[in-house]
Amino acid sequence: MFGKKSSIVLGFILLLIVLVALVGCSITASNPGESDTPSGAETAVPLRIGLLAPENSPFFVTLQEGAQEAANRLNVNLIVRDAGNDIAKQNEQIQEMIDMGVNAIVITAVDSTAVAEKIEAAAAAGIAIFTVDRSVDSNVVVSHIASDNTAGGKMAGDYLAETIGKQGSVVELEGIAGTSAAQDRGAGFNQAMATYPNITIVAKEVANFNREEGQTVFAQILADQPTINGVFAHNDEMILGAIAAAEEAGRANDIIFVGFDAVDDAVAALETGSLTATIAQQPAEMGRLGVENAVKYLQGETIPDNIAVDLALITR
Amino acid sequence: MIRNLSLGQRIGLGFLLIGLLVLLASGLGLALTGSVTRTITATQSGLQQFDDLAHLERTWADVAAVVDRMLLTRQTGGAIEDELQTAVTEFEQQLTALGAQPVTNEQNATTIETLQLLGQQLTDLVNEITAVSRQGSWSRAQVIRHTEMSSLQRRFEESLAVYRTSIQSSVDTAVTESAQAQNFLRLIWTGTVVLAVVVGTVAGWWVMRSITVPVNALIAQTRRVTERDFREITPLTYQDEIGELSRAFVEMTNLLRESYSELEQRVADRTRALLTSTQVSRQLTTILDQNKLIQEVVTQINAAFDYYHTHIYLFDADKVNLVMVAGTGEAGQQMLAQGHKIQQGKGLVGRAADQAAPVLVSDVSQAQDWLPNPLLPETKSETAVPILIGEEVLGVLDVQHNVLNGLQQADVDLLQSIANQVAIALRNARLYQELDAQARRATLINDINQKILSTTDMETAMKVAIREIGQLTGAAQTSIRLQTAGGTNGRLAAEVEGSHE
Repeated sequence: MFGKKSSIVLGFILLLIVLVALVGCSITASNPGESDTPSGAETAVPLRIGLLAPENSPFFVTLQEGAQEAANRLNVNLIVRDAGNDIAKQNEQIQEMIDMGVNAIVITAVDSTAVAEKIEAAAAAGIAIFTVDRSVDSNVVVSHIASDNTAGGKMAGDYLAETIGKQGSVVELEGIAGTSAAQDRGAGFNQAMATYPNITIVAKEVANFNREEGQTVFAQILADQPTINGVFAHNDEMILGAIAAAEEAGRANDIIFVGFDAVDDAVAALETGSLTATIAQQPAEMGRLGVENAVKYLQGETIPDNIAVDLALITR
Repeated sequence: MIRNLSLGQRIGLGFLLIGLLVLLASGLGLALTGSVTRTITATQSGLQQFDDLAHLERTWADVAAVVDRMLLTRQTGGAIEDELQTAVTEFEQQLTALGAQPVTNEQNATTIETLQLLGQQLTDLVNEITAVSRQGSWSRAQVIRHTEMSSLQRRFEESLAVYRTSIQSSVDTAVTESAQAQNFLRLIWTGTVVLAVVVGTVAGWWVMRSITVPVNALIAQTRRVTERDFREITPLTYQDEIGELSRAFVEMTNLLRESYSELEQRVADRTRALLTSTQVSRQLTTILDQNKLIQEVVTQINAAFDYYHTHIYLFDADKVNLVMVAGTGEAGQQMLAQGHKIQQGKGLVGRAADQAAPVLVSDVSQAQDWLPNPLLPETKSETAVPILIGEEVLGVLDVQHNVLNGLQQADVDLLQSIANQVAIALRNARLYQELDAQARRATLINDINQKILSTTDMETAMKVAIREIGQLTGAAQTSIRLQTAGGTNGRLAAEVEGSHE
């Protein structure tokens, strides 16, 4: 009797082992990824990101709006400052960000070299640095987000050349010397011009991205140059100034004007016909990308060193 | 533990083990099939989702293409706006379809929400572009197209990429898990096979040993018994059938031993009985005195076979009563003194005499015509054997035993053979007595003749004859009467008075 009982017990034990093994198998097989679902989904405390603009021109206002939109979307506390084109003020604002202990700074430098030291201090304080539109001469920058200004300059140059029939005299109004935007746009424009042997750049003057300066500088050029077929300015402000000067001089209809940035005034000018074309940057997109990439970086993702933002030719 | 199992249970256990291994293997196969099925399902679902996303992306591209064409050709209203509306509608339908699919995880749900939000923004933006275009603000429309709409497109594509990655990762996970499951199952399967071989071999050897060892032990015990070695056998201590067989074998051997020794005892008894019978016969032939003979017979039988009591009855002259003539022990003496006798046909003795056949009562309490004898209170079994000469019954040899079933047919047969010899001896004795008497008479007659012949005259001769005959016969008066021829009354020629004294 004992033997029989024990053989039943043994049988049951073996059966149990088999069942456990089978169940174990099917559990491991049927519950995939239970362990690798991401745990801490959202950080409870919102990230704080400082957005430092060089001035409050429409371009940067739009950029800031895009950044704000992304910040709202990503639950980021965005602190916005503009420096009014004052290097010292921008440095103060950087210090303010350091003092506040923000997680990241998204900056468009007033001057690429002048803020480098402060930016490095901020990076040393553990703040992630992102540059937008204009670069900073430092290797602490996580990523530089900007339009491909060289491509934009070339695009503008090609359009201007085509419009004036690939021959004639053109003028280039340059932005603030030392800014990457001015350098790259000028380089792209000149690359394009070099392919048109019948086009001569009769004048190349700095107008510091400023409408009044553009007007003043171009008025002088008008006075100097009897024949001008086209003008390319490194930004819309300067081209609008140039248009104003040409209108004053009564030569606006003889000249093809090509700007850069597609700000609202420029778009209005396109629609009135005084401006022929402009290169549309995506300031809002730059702001968004600045904030989005800062958040991604802070969440541990790898961000490329350079993020190019597409440009588009906007015509009349 | 296995030692305690019966052979049947051991074999059953073997089958159970095989069954379990088969179950395990087939279960693993099923699990593997399940894993493969899941992988296929996940892959198919992933492919379907990829397809859906590609379709969604294409409809977005369609919308962008129509917008671009509108901006390039500077046309509003009518056909182009219808076309745009169609593209937007299809895009929205795609988006709705995507949202309607079952969502596998939270991340995908978020991504789909984002895509839907972006889709809504695209619709708004397309409407704005259309509105701006209608107003002739083509430049503004272009700006919107190249800034806001591009941004939307970028974010849309990013979300799509996230979604695709998630799908890909689900598929990859399923494939990886399937591969892992296969590896695991391969391992288990190999393990099962190895286990089956190892355990099977060991268990098989063990079970074989567990059977052959006791069987060999049992065979050795059997051999011993076949060689008539009936010494005590220790039963094997197994709990199984072999143990049972061994115990049965031990019992059988014990029985065999008992019956063997009983047989030997019986042979010895029989030999002794035959010896006794021979002895009795030999002695009987030498005894011619009937009474002495009878007494000797009962004494020897009783002593030789250790019976409780033996006695012999002989018929009286009238053949009516069977009179006890010899008996053993004090009871025998007393009965002799009392002149114990039994009427013909009464009791076992009477019946035996009546039927001229032996009567055996192994248990006297069961026999109705058994006559209890107060002098023999311990009698448990009794046999009465007739003493026969041909058809004539001379008497009965009666033997009693104080052991139940103490008397058997073998005793009866033996006693019958002794009784037959007793009968012969009795007849011999009687014949001898008769011959002896005749011889004596002849001698006397011869003597008388001699004496008569020695006389010289008639008178003397007659006197001698009368005297001698008177002496011989013991008659009180002896006389000779002479009868003359023709005379009616004999004249006493001579009368001799004689006496025996």
